[in-house]
Amino acid sequence: MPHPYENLPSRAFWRSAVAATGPDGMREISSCRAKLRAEQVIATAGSCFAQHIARRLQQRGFNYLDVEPAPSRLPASLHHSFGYGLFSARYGNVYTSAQLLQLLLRATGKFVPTERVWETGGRWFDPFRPSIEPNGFASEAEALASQDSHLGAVRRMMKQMDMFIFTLGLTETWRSREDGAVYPVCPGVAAGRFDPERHEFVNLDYEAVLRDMARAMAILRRIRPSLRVLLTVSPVPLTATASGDHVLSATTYSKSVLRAVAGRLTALHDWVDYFPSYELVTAPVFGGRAYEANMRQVASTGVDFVMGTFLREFCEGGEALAAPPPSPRSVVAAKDDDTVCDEAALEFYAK
Amino acid sequence: MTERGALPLVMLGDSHCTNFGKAMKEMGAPILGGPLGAASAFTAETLPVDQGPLRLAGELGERFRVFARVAGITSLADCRGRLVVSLGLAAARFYGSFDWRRVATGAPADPRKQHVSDAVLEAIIDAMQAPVVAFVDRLVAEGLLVCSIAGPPPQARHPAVAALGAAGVLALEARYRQPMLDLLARHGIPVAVAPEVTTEQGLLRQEFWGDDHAHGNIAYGRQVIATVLRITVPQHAQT
Repeated sequence: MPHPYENLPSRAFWRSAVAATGPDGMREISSCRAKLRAEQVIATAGSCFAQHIARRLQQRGFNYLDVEPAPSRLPASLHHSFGYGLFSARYGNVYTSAQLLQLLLRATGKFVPTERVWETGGRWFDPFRPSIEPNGFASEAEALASQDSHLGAVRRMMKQMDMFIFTLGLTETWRSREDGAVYPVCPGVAAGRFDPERHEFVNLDYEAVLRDMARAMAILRRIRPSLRVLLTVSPVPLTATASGDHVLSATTYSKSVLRAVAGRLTALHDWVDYFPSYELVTAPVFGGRAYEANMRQVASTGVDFVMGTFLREFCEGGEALAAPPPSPRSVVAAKDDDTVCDEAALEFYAK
Repeated sequence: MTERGALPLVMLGDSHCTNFGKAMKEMGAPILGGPLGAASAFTAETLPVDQGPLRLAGELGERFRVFARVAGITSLADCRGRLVVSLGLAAARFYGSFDWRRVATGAPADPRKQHVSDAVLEAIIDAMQAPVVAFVDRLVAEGLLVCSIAGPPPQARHPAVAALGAAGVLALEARYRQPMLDLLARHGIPVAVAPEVTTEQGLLRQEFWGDDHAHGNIAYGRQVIATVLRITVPQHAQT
């Protein structure tokens, strides 16, 4: 009787799948169950790396859902500054599983946070998307009106999408001690005021992330029973950690938890897929060359490589869609579009 | 009247100048000129305000060459002390650019509509107005401009009025015009506002409606030109 490894395809062996092909020659990297079809309504959310997915899908003519498009007269150069066109709704970066779950709970009226707005310097900010209005709102009433409108748009998105692509970004977050509301950015960094009596640091563990994601996906599937979910993990390291660990170690913890949860959810549900954007940038075979010089931001060539693989392996007609994937080894100075990472504001505080 | 004062006024600007020009001819008014293009043609590219002689570029530059022949000038500099413009004060393009059935501003907002913040409105106004304001600023600095013409008030049939009410549209119109009005006020340039053309609500009376919901007709143009002449002739004559 042959042993289990005898009939495995070449992609199962490091020598034939990686060592022999080199980084540019690897194929069948992902285990896609159902390819994206042009007519499917696709929505995206997640950390800043997810913005690349949204942008490429729009560029390639997919049926990309944008429930909060930019007003037509707003110059394109200002769209991203105001949070337009980054994701399917104007929620800004959704870094954590807890943030995603609470977004869905707020959109469905199941959770109303105590702190609905923050006032900073006479301007008003949405604590759950503090960067979408760079200078805040003119009044509390306007901030709340925008928030209500936004949550209504998220509800519409939940009802319309066939495929939800979510990029898991971080496990570290800041939470209200009062009601458990989680914020994308620590209060006081982009807006609001940090108060240790009211705000606490949380580093979500595997069980918490799995529980949040399972609840979030259950909410989505209740509304769209045929919904498919595609998970990715952002290859962008943490800008800063409040865990007490070295930021390198904290990044490894965060990404390991997220990658493990993504794997678990894919194993549990046949309507969940995982696309290895994280591996395509961080794996040793790529030598870290997909990154910019700061070894944090992904260079445009790295994004091209990841998205070329995504289009080829996850999209119907993918070979035609995918431009020849440029080598991540040849990092060039040309930056990708202005990917908005509001956690990058933390970098300002680095000593 | 001085030699310069004896020269006719020169009017140029956006599409509203079409009916102003027709009215001028009908009235035999001492004004030359007309439209150079739709408001959308007045951009940072076509209104360069860099160093050197003030000029129009691109499609506006092409049209200006024809315009100049008709107006008997060779360049904008020939219009010193006698230029009238219709630029940056007609707001229909701004308030008409939103689908108000789908979009809301202010607060409280209808959560079924997409909310557009005050800051986004300001950014849109700034983007639409900045090139025109900068250009008019140069016209003032060069001593060319003697008068600016206010755009026609909103019409009741405009879809924005149906969605927002007259007061809502007038508020948007006022915001849109403000950067240009501030500039003109700072330099003491008068604005020609046609009298007695509005309803009690502040909308353009129906007898002045043009062919579409943005423009006034020739009768409105006559009101405007009469106002321009009333405002400018005394100072024109004194130069």
